[in-house]
Amino acid sequence: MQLSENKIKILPDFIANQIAAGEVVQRPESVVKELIENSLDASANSIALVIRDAGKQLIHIVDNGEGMNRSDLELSIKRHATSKIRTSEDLEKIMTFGFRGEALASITSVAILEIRTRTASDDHGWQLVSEPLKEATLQPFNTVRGTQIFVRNLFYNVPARRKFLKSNLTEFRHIADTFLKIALIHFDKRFTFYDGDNMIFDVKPETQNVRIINLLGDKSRENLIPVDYQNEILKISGYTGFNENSKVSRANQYIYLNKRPIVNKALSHAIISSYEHLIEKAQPFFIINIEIDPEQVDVNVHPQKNEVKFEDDRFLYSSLHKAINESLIRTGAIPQVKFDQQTAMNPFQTIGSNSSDKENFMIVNKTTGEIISQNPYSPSSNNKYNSYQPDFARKESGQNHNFDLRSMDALFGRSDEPKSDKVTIETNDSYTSNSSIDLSFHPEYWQLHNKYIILQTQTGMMIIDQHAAHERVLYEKALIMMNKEMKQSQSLLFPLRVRFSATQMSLINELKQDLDNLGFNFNIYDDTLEFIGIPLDVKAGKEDHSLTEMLEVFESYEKFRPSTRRDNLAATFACKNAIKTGDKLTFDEMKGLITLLFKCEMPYACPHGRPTILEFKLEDFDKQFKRT
Amino acid sequence: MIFTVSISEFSKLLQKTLPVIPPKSTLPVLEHLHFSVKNGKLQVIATDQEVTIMSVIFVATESEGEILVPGRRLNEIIRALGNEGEIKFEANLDNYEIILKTPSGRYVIKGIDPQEYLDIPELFEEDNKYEFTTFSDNSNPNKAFFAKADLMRIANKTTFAVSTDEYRPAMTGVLFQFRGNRIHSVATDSYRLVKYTINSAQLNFPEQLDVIIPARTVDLLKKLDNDVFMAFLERRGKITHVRFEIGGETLIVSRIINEKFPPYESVLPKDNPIRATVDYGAVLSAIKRAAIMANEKSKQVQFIFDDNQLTITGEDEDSGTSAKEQLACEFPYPRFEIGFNYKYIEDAFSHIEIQGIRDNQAILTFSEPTKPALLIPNGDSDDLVMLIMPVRI
Repeated sequence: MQLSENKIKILPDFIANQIAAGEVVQRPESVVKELIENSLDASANSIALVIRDAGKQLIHIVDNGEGMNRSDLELSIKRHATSKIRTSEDLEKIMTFGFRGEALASITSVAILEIRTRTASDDHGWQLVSEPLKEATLQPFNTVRGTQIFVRNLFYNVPARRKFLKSNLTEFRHIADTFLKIALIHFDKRFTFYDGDNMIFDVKPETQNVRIINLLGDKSRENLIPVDYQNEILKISGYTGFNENSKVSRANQYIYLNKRPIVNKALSHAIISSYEHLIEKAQPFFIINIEIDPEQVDVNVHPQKNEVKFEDDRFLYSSLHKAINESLIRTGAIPQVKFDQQTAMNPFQTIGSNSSDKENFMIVNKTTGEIISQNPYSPSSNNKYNSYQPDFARKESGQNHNFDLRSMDALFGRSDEPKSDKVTIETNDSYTSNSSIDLSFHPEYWQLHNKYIILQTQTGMMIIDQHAAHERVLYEKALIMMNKEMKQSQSLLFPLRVRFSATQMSLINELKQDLDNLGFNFNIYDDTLEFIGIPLDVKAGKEDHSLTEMLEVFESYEKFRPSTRRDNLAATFACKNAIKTGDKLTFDEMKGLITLLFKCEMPYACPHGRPTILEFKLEDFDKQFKRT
Repeated sequence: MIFTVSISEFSKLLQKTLPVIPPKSTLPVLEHLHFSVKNGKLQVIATDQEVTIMSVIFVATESEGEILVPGRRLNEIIRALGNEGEIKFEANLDNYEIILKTPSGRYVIKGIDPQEYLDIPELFEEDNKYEFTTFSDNSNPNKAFFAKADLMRIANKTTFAVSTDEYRPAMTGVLFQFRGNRIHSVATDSYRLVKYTINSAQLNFPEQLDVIIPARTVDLLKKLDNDVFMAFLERRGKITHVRFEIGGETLIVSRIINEKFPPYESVLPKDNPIRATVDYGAVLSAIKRAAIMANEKSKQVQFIFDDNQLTITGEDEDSGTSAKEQLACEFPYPRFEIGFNYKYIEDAFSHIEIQGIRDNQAILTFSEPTKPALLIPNGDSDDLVMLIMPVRI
């Protein structure tokens, strides 16, 4: 070997692709994701996915999109070949899901790839077969409009990678989750999913709430709360859910940005924090799409594209928080007591198919992920209906779900109209008669065992836990008092010097004004902060601690929260001062309490997350009494 | 162990020792008083391992012995017996059962084996682990004499300003600064500071010595029935304990706080140019009223001086309350406004009275609304100085 020979060489394309594949194609799920995104970009409105052996043996995608002509097809598997962007300006405002031009090139370097495609204008289609290290073959092929892609023997030439794939069950779950995620948001398109010969689901274009119920199962139907929010910059839509079934796991929490599934801790927090004190130690579910001008975001952060950067994180956070809050309040997340509730303990979940074919549904064991194929000798269809609700029933219940309780007025709807009468009576009558008339137009209240207040509503009855209700009232009052920004700063006699890390210091520098407004008064010397004044409610000796805590919260969520300590304080205060179980309440006291409760921002749960109100529907009583 | 004692004396003895018993302890033995009867005297010891108190009274002894007695329970029953008559205390030293007898009653308490009590070497001179610190060359080279009134005044003027924050141990005690015949006692929690000076007629103080004595120990000196000899115990040349001998009957030994006191002299403003002379009693009651209307969380009250008039305001927007008090004062300067935490300014005014204060007046001095304010009694002496940090409005 001669010394003059260059040591650095440009890698052949194939190796470059294989390296890139490491990033883009990590597991079968990545292939599924890339290919389905391609189908969506090709404006397909029906996409089918077939996998065998958890995608290791075969991933087959069929779409009815635009398809490709011969030259496009030839180019498609080349690296950085893409139809989706042409100029660097396009990169600034990416409208499509893919754009890097890496996916197909990467896949061809780690699997056997076959593409069959035909455009609407061509009279026949083309087939391309490509194997790693071999020249791709291209030949005319008879096929329908759209594209079919077969990815066979994934990673067969990269044993290390193949070895690191997880069990079939796990890989299957990844694929199913990704497909589900996409299907949930593209509810206007048809998605079909087969594992080998078993159909997992087949959903036809429908509305999003129906899609969610079809995909996530019956249970979600109980508590779909629509989210619809818009401001000058963005639009937030989707559904969120709340009920006693919400699990501790973070399953079923989906955020989409312009329909692209994304992972973003801060945004999830924005949603979850709206649920604060509503769900005790549990996670809500949400399927939220954020529509925003593509120029405001950078999706080109990671090859897998599930991380994105926003231009104005804080604004987005607060908008999302607001959107969810508004929906929760508007809908009134009251737990409803249903007499005919299905058992929630059943580990088998049915993944229902479309309405037209009731025999097509799969049962998935939620604990193992195992799919139980339909057994022809299984119990009769009657039994099936116990675990699977046919469509018409579903629709009916979906309507039930629309909470009737929107506000105090709506709740006691009848009191609304007589109110106008009341005015006239008031003017005519003396003060003394006023109260008696007033009473007659209000619902009755009964106190049950000095513990619960029962009242009649427009559609049934409500039971209110008097202690929890009062707790909520006091809690909100205390929170308002406590979270008021206080500019006052107690000067310190002996300035306190605390060292902070360089990153913290830069943050402190940036936020100096905000911190000053909160009462932190300090000088900065290189890496040392000299406190000369602190907020009046910061405990002595905890100055640096409380600042660090606030900075940490800020770093993770880009938002100042005075501290959770205050929330806890307010909760403790409320609990201590609220009326107790066993306290006898007069009519006026009950009335006052309930009026105050419904003035609360979130009347439906006490600060500890227990419900304050249970609602019983008249129709449920009717059912119980066999009146229907 | 059997003795008879008058209830009133017994009760006094318990009142002296009980404050040392910790309210909660993982060592049950600390909730007990150590009783021992010998030579016609009852000696009671209480300790929380930081402060130890030992007090002695004469009792009519029938038999001697030692036992540990549950302190609070004993105190409760003695208090319930009133202040008259005598009580007979009988302890069975085999099963540690204690029987208290009055002419009409009989009460049984369970005691503990005295062997279980902790070692308190600093209390007893015969254990050679500690030595007295020698600091003067007169007849009593290691004991400083305090008239009881002086020491009581130090305790009463300082401990309110001590920090309760264990993160700053130096501030949880009162600094005793011996300087020849003067002693400065200083306490601060970094929001306010008090400095009280006494002069001793007898030249038996250490020439130059600084110790920080825990506030709990100083609190025990608020009520004294006798003059005090103060001494220091050291080990390997380092002072570890302070020791107060109160008359012949009570001994308090306390650990000192081995920390550096903040450099308080440098933060005391030398000459605040703006001076307001006020009637401290009137101001104090005005602060108390304004505080009721002030925000409970910010605890802020405002002082506005203008044209020989002081206006004190407190306000709480949340509950819609406010207070405004107008008082006459001597203030020949342009309008000046300053905010305080009402707790700190109230504490200062309620401790400002000293002997020889002129016309019931105190003087507040300022330089700027964000700089420390001083409160001193009107008069010739500069024995008492209070410093209060303002609140930035």
